[in-house]
Amino acid sequence: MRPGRAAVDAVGLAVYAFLLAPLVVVVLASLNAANYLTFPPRGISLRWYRALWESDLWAESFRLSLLVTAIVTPLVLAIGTLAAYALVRFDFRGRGLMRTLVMAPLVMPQIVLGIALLNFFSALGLVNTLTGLTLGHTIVTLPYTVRLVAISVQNLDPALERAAESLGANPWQVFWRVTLPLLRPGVVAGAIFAAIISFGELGVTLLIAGASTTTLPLRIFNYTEYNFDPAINAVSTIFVLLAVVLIAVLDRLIGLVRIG
Amino acid sequence: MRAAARRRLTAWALLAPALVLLVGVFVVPSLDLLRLSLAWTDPGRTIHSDFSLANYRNFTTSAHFHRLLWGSVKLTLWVTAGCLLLGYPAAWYMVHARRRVARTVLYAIVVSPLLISVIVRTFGWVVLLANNGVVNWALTVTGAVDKPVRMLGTFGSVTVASIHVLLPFMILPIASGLQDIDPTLARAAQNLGATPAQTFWRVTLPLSMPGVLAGTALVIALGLGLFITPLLVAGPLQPLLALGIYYVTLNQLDFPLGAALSFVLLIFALLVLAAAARALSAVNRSAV
Repeated sequence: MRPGRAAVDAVGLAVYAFLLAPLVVVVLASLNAANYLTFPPRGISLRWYRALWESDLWAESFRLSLLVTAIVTPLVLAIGTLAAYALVRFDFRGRGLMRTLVMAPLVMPQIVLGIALLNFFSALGLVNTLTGLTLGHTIVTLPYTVRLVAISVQNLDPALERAAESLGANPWQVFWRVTLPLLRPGVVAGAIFAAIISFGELGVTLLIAGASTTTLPLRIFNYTEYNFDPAINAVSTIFVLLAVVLIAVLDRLIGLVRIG
Repeated sequence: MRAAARRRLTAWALLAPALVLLVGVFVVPSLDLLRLSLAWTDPGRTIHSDFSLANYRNFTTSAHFHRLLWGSVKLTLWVTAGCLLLGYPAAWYMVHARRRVARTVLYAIVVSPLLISVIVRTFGWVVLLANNGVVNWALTVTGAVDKPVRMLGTFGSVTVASIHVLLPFMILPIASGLQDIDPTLARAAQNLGATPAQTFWRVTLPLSMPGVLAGTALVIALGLGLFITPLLVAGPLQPLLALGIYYVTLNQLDFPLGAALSFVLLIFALLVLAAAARALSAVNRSAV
């Protein structure tokens, strides 16, 4: 093997170790029996998982996060699927502008989006409410959903829809019976991304949530920042394991290579 | 003609829900923030909504805010350089992995951070870099240092954690650029007598520039607005504009000033994206 290639490989491998390091450490630390954050661990135990299970505060946050995710996901999926279909399939004046607008929340600096929503929601009385959180998460997840659904729309052969039409199906039937089933991989991938991003969202949440809307990530933040609780490692591990499962699902659905 | 009009109508009907959402929860709040940034706050904390550039003047004349902006620029430069230096070889390694399984695993490692809350990833860095954390343990055990080095709270810790948070946004576009390069081009160059190094610098790298530029622009724009990671790793007093906005708005409750600083940051991010878009179209033109 050439030395140049070996050097690239070494750097490459090191980068993957770097990407994994904080996640692996969190998982290991969650099994630590000690009372505080320490390395190496003093014995192995599942006590922090039990503490988590028995804590009402964590349970409350977990329920709230699930609730927000359960509202946001179908909402953004419906909005995003229609938008992705229109943006890929139709050619019209203003399409470029609409594409930019749909993607804009992704590149808007997070702090700016958060401050804008905080200011706007305080005028409407939506700070620290479920409605506010839902709206905020919907805007944050929309770009991801549209992008993933758009991949499937691009692969959809228009001839199939035309065939259904010429066989007498009305537009509604074409959409439900032909288009949507064929878009399923992208739609499911879009749903997974929307759900996981809403579930873990903090950038906007930190600014617009409050004492009665402490989502799971917000509680982790509060505990890391103010009063440390070793159960954080256990919650974080759940996030990591969830991601591992969903990545396997995404790979089967549309292939990880195409998500990038 | 009628059919064209109907298609246009259908397109906008499909886009209507997204448009309502984007206008209502993105465009209007942004414009309202712009309006607020042009208001002013008197010493008694009352906000006056008559037009004033007081907040922007405050920014241009205050050495403190210049220091924050410089801190953000400095962090973003380091993070972008780090992401480029680490991201390119990582993308290369991933795209050229020989076995399909290996490639899938590498993609999974790169995509996984996107699916794991930023708070979890940042918390991992707290565990790694704390005084009684993993890195200090390793340094002490190997005898590299006699007592733990303070790492949390430093500019270096913010840089490392931020590189980690933004690296996937660099690797994925570069990988997709490398993927699209026709492998016969590199072989042709080598058949014509180019060394592997020449092939890389003269053929592969130029062809992968669109991906590199896209990733760079994204990392810069996202890097400027990063605030949760610095907040947790280094605390609210780290000199960064994003943290300054957070502090001014939530602690000093000076919304108009926070709004003005937000727009300064936004304008910086937009300038970067616009410059990247121009560079990208220049690269694409020269490639034709």
